[in-house]
Amino acid sequence: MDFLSPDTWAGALAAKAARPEAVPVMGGTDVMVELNLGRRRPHALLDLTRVPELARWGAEDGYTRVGAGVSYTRLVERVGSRAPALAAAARSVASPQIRNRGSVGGNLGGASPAGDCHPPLLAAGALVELASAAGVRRVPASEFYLGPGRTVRREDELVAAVLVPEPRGPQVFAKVGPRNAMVIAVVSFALALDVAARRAGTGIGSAGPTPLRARAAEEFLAREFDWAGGADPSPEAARRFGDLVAGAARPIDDVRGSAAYRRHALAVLARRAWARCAAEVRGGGV
Amino acid sequence: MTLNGAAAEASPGSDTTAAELVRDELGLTGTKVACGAGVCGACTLLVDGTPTASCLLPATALAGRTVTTVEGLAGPDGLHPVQRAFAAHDGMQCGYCTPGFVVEAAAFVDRHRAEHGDTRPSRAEIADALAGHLCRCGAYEGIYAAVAAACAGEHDTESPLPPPRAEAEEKVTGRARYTTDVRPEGCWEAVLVRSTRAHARVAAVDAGGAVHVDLLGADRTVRYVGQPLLAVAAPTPAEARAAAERVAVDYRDLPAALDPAAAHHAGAPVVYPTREAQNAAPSNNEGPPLPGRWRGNLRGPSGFGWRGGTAVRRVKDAAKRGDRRLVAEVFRTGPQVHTALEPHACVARWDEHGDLHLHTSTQAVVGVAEAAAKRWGLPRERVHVTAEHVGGGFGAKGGLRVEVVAAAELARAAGAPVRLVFDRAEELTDAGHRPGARVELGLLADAKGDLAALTMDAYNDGGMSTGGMVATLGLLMYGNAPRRLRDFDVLTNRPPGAPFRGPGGAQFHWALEQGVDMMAERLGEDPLALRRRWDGNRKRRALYDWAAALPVWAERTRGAGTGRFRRGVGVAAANWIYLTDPATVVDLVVEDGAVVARSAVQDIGTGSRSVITDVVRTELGLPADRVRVGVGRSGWSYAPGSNGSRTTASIGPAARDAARALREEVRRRAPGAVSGSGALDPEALKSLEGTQAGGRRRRDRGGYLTPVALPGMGAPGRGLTGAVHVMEVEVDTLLGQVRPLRCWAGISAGRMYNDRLARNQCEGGVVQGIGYALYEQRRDDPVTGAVLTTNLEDYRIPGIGDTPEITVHFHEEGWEHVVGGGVGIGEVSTIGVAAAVGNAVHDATGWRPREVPIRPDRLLEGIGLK
Ligand SMILES: Cc1cc2nc3c(=O)[nH]c(=O)nc-3n(C[C@H](O)[C@H](O)[C@H](O)COP(=O)(O)OP(=O)(O)OC[C@H]3O[C@@H](n4cnc5c(N)ncnc54)[C@H](O)[C@@H]3O)c2cc1C
Ligand code: FES
Ligand code: FES
Repeated sequence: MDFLSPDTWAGALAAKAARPEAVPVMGGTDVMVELNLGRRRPHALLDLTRVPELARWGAEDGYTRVGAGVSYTRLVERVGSRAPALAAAARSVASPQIRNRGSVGGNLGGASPAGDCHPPLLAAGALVELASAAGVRRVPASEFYLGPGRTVRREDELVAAVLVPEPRGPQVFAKVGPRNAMVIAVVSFALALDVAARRAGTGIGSAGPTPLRARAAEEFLAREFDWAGGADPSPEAARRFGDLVAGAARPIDDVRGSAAYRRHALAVLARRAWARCAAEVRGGGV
Repeated sequence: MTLNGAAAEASPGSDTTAAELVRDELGLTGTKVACGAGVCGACTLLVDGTPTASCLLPATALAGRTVTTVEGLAGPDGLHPVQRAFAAHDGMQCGYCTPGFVVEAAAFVDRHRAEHGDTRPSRAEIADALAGHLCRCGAYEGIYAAVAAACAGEHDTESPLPPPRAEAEEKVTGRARYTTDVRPEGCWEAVLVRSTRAHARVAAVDAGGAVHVDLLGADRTVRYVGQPLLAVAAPTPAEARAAAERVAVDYRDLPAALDPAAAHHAGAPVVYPTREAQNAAPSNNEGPPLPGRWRGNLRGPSGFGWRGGTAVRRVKDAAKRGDRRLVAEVFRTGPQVHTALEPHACVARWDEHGDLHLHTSTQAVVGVAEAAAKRWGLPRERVHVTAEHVGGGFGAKGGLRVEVVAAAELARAAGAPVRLVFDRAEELTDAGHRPGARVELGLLADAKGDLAALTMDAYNDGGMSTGGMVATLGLLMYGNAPRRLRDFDVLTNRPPGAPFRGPGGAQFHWALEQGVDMMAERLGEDPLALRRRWDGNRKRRALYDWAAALPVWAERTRGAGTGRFRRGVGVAAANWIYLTDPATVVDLVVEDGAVVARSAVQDIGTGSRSVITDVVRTELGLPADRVRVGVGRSGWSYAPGSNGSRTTASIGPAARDAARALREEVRRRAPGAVSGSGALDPEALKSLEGTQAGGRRRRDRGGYLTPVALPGMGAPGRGLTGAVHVMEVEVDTLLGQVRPLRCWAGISAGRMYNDRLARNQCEGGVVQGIGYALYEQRRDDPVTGAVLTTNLEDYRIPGIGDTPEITVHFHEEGWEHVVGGGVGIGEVSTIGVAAAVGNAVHDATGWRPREVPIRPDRLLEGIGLK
């Protein structure tokens, strides 16, 4: 197995162009598990940990740009309030050791339906920046995912960064895990509101072949939400919202949970997310 | 890189992990690898001060970094405060997880003190910081205490007191050596080739020229996916893996019985078609299996009872008349996997005299030596078994297992030492498990509310193994009302079970103790009061009284909860037999000014080393540094295996006997060296070099239940140990999750030899019981029979955040007839826990769980919420 270890971004892209089959490694918290358990035997690894550009973050034209190599720990500590749902998702990842190494870019590169970054990126309307030696393109998160582990990223491309719009209202992320600590999501949900535009974004994790948006639920909430006062939803509205979110999911039964439970839990998370956003609007936290 | 403060160089290959580099190339074996998947944290290192799972880190990533391993945590002033704290609060049992915990906790404590001064963090903060670590022994209470105390600055200087666990310092510094750490010069690596078929005849195996040993039985049949059929060895791990992949197996598939619910139906494929095959079936229990008749895949009934006909008639009549005082219920449990953090492992070597040397992770040092001697036709003293430290066992590491047989055979074939270590997937598939069971319970009370009849039929699901003994345990509970107790094995083409901490007990109590609660409800009686009435025993009555006096019991709201989060309190009782091994010997000798004990006994985390140490220290009034105890070598004095809760009750009295004999010997030689209180003068020991004495496990007053010790069982002593668990949970009725909040464990097993270690073990018993009740579920592929939960993310054992606050209470009276006054607690402390959780969930929600684990989806379905 070859180990490519470029120390510039240009070098990384050149290496990927020359060896498109090389498997990128950022924090390694997915790749190394696959190697250790013998699920994968690549001919070449492309180590990205020495590329300084990937570890950067900052403001950029109404977005917060988060380099693909920014670890969850950094994200929580430094990016925090500029991308609240994403930061909440980062906080919920596994354990300190995994948060110290695991990255947004790795979450997108692996594109597991259970990845915690996806629902907040979908809900917030983020862009994924893909780069190759031939150029750069930005893809809306909602168009990025194709199937379990499959995305629109071409073999010669790398994830460079995500661009998260600056928050324009409350954002929440919630997840249900199979035990009290150290958990990959059984199901997760993110909600991001744009108070000025009276729009809502949603993201569903771990309940379908890809992370999903619940568009009907978004429209329903946009209509029913008390944008001015932040009143709690009526029980009927909350229930309807929960049902619409659950209805958008396409879960399966697996070792972490049954499809029926996932739907049920999603509805619970969705109702709670509405209530929390409403409380934030009420409290003037926007 | 800078490694533990000094410059270090290495040139690892591109596919080497940091964990492998540190352990295998740099020889720092304190760092452990237990999952290879980032879940358990045993491999944690500090990289530039940041805790990192080194199994997920390419070794090349260490270039230019500052790396600290557990060996490098200590500073110029001695151990890191957190290491001292772990030792002082006994935040460990087997110690295999300890280096990882200690490294992470050191970083947390340093940061916490820098940010908040010397203050105690909350339990939740500690749980968050240590969320990436698993301890199968369940030593979490001690870990909470240790981390909090270290943060508060309570361990900045060395404690004047020795730690409660004799080998604590070795464990917190990473010096403790386990079998997985042993890698002699020129050692080859072995890999097991396992069946990919659930049921097949193996027509031919082509080992492709590799050094190998055939492991198939006489009928050349594989009976589950994962069954070892061949082992290969090669000079390096990579070569061994490659050799294993080249092995070609020609399978002739046979129809397989995979569903335990259907395997005994007519027409199902038969797992053992012949008498020979049936007799060769492995047992999942200790001791010889009870006799039982075979009908296809159904074996049994076996079992006992008294006035069984009466019991059955009473239950039937009560059912006919619809008697409310009859509880007739079916309970279910699934396979629970032992999941010791140290995997099964053996390093075998034949020396130039033809002696066999085995380093192995075993809970039966002498047992392995005896069985190996028999198998290879050697006198027992020419087999040298070593198990200095053992990273957990829980029942799965008894006897001569495949890793020993394969390593020894391959070592002979290769002419080199051979090392065989299970990976986590092998461990979760084929290292044994607690068999599942379907338990049909009949419990009848008479008009006075007394127990009138008990019937239990248990259909035990131990894969292709026999020996299920669940219903039979009805012998141990609630007096002498008529009872019929029948055990059946339902055989399938799935991996074999093994004894697991209180074999059968967890399944049995899950059913019985929930049944008793249902009865209490029908009789309108307090569940503790009912148990107290039914259980005539005085020792256990003291436990019921203790439990009834707990504020949590008096104040419980009994099903009156409303709203999303509901609290509930549940209770369960449990009894277990008391065993001892009358052949146990402890020998003492004065060496280098200290009293030294050497015993074959293994220490799997249960504290056998500490028990001997404490007894000798106390009996002879010696300071800690004047008593040294060596354990885990088959050539040292005889001790039993660590199973059946018999170890402490065997070695403790023998150690005391030896200490007394040594005192007499010293008195004879140097009368002035013994004080009036019987203490030895430490200074006089120097001139007593070589003085020796031996001690035996003397007979209990009243003897034993059987006139001779039973093979593989020891002597069953008089009296049952007892436990009463009171559990408080909070149920999230919207998401279906159950959170244990507090647990009280009352234990009657006589005097505790070492209070802190005994509490630790009882706390761990609670943690394991909670895993059983709430999280642990092995899943098998219904089509292929392959185990699906082959990593620690999918097979979920409890973490520190799942641990309730645990209070242990010992009722010590009632064991005065036993030499030494105390007996084993390993099993009685865990078997009733799941039922206490079940009863608490019922108390909170009104819904009765009938199947473990109490998964959120089952709970929601049960309480009928949408
Ligand atoms: C014990 C454990 C617990 C976990 N818990 C969680 C959890 O709670 N939530 C969660 O979401 N995830 C969890 N994970 C999964 C993992 O930590 C995350 O997916 C993480 O975001 C991966 O980041 P990484 O940098 O480590 O990725 P890597 O392992 O380095 O890479 C992951 C994938 O992305 C590709 N890749 C990496 N960087 C790039 C790039 N720049 N461009 C293109 N492709 C790239 C890799 O080739 C690989 O396919 C857990 C993992 C473990 C081991
Ligand atoms: S061995 Fe690295 S986390 Fe388990
Ligand atoms: S002490 Fe933690 S696994 Fe044994």
